[in-house]
Amino acid sequence: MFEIRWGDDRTIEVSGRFTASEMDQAMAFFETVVDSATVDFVNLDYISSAGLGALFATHRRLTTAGHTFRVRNLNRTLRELFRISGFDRIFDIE
Amino acid sequence: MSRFARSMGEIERLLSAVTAFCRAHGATADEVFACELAAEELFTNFVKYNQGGIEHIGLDLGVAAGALTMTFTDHDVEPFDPSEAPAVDVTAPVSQRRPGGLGLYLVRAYVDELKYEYTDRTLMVTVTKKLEAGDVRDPVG
Repeated sequence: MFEIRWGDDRTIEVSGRFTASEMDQAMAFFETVVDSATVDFVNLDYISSAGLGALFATHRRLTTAGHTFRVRNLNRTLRELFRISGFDRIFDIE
Repeated sequence: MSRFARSMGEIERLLSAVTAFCRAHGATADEVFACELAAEELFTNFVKYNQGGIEHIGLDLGVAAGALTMTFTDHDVEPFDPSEAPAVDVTAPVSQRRPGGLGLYLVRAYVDELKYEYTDRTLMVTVTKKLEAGDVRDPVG
């Protein structure tokens, strides 16, 4: 089950499995983000290209407006996914 | 063959089936992830690009010679050659990156073989993922 919510200190907590079927929920949330934020992957098990696309669109919107949009706590598998997809060149990974 | 409705709402059921099959055949966590990712990307492609299809999308899972195979079958579909899909430059500067197009790129990156067959308006896509464990046997077959 996928969940997305605000945590502490401008952190967005995502958990579960971020598949294409979760896009509406995720984009509805991301569209409410209008300032710098960090997405915490610590409880995220899986993400596909759909989820990566949602992160990319939000990153572009926020950085164009002069804000930052970072990710943190990627597990080894998701860090490798970011490398293969070139997202490690787009995102600051904490 | 398992059958899935042409809906994103089927992804969780699809991934559950793939995950269970992979684990039952000794796949590592990385191999399970690779198969899940390939399954979702191919399935969503079928859903997006054959919205008029009336039949369910079929999935056959198999194991042979130390590798897992997943074959998706879709009927009444236009020819589709993924090799003609625009390439994704994952090294491009962020200002030049475009959303989309990443799905098939990831499938190619994560599986060992990707095969397409098109006959009589039926498209079959088979991916093969070799297993680290080697020559596993299908306990069912």
